[in-house]
Amino acid sequence: MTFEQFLFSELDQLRRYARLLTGNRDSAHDVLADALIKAHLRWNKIGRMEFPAAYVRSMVTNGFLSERRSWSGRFISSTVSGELPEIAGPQASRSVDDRDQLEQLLTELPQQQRAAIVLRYYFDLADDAIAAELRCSSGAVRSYISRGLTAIRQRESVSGRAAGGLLAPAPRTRRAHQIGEH
Amino acid sequence: MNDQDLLLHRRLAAIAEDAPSGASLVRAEHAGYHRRLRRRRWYAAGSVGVVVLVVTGTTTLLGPGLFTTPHEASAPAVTATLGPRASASTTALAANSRLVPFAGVAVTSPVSVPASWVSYDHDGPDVQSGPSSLLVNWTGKEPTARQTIDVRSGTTGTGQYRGYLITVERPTLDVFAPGYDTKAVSTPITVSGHPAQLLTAPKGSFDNTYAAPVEARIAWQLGDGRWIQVWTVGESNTVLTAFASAITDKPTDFPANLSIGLTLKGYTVADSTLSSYVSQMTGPGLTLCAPTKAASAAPASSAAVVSAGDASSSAGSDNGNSYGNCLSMYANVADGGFGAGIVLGNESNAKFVADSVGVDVGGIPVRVNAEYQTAWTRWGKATIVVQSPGGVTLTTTDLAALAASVRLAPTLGVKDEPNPLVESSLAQESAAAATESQSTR
Repeated sequence: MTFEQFLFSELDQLRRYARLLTGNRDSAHDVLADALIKAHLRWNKIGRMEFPAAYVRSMVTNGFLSERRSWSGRFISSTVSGELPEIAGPQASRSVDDRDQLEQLLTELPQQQRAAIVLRYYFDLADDAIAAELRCSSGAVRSYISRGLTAIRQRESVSGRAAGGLLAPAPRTRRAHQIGEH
Repeated sequence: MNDQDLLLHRRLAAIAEDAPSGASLVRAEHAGYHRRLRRRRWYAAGSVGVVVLVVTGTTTLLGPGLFTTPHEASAPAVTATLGPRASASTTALAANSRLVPFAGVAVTSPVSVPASWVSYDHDGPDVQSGPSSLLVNWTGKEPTARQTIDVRSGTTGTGQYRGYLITVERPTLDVFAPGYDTKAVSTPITVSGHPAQLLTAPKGSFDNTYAAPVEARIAWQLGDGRWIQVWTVGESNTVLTAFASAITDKPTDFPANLSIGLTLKGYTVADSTLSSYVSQMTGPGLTLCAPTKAASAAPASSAAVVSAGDASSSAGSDNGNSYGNCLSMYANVADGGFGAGIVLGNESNAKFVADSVGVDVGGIPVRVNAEYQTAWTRWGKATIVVQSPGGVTLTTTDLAALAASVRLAPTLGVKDEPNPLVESSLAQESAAAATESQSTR
């Protein structure tokens, strides 16, 4: 598989993953572009892997986890005029509300919890696959997910959102399609 | 997934809709990739498989005396040379132009490698230079068998390379092994009577800054204070030591196969790749950055590595802003490196071409997409691509003049392998040009 073929098939998922992981479109752009450059430079090796998509995704994850401190400044944005941007009016859709709400809650989680939740609930990965990606044990993954969901549930409850018991974690075993075959 | 999982999945999917655009990502990737590629082109050559190094049955004896390691010689894959073409560096600039004349680039290495050690590379070395570094590598052959690679630990095939990297900084021990970061092990040795270090790391390890192969290196300090590290990937430490011993302090000049007649005011050379050929994803390139960044990042002692024709402009920056904040130009075969970015992004290739305009610069046809700040022109089978720095908006006239001022060596070889992306790009470009031609009648 050439790098171009890889991008054809995987870029869409990767950019969505980076967005979920970083919680910020600009940061997603930076971390994913950086991972893609590194992957492209090493494509003679990565391209021969059985699951290059999983490897590149792990590069995105590791880039996010290892460099998160340097991104902190990028989350603090300002406007040229110094005035606040317009706030969405009542016509804003419910889906946007949901997105903003969950986005805020995810952003407040520790990075590894956030990554574990995204890998589980967006990519439907098993515990061991997530553990490999986060370089931790399966038990730690279950802990991350459990704590993360608990925190989300509590905060949604506090804010009046109808989350309740909707986000109950459950251990997940590996399935054949789970690594790199999205 | 149960209902609860699906609910969360849908909410995450809604967030993911706000992802950065594919086009911007591909453009950023392309700009950054080409910048770094010029430091280590051999990896790209392996990555896209377009460099057809036909391994012949011929063996070549490399190295003197006891170190006659048989190598499989790679037959020349160059199928043609570019041939001459007029450039337009003398074209009169508009009154509001932000461009100034530029004299070109020359690269000199402080050391020499005996030809007997690198004669297996018929295409000549890949040379990647910046103000604070010079990387020279001779490619042996492609990695061999496809291997199943574990996602985490990663096992890899190996190509065979001999080369060296000269840096102002002491060689790093921090390396990237497949799947994890680690440190190289340093062992003091003596090479040709001078103290040196044998640096070893796990198989397949890279230097993260230069992506140099760092499984085994020998490093020492040169007389001018800079550091050199040499490698012979896929060969024993005995051969590596012999290779290091064969390197002498005699300077070597490398000819520039790509130069430019114009640049942005104040921009100086930050990075150049000298290549003896163009292929679909590789070729010579040049990056020029704004002086403010260059001056702050480039050690003064590094100026000798790249000496721009404009003698006062030899400073530059290896550490310029990550993506697109430098003037970038490069040459490839046919798609020229822009095709993939266009095709793979949200913008279709057809739209990219349709949104471009044709400009005649002293008889040289150039196409310019002002929105993407990209201009391209052909030189034989090669496409020259110029991209303006991020945050700088050039006029169509300036972009066209820049592209037309790029000069390629007529002796530059061509490795032209058909590629669906390239063919698609060319076909759509031809169609758009035909449409434009009809509409102007």
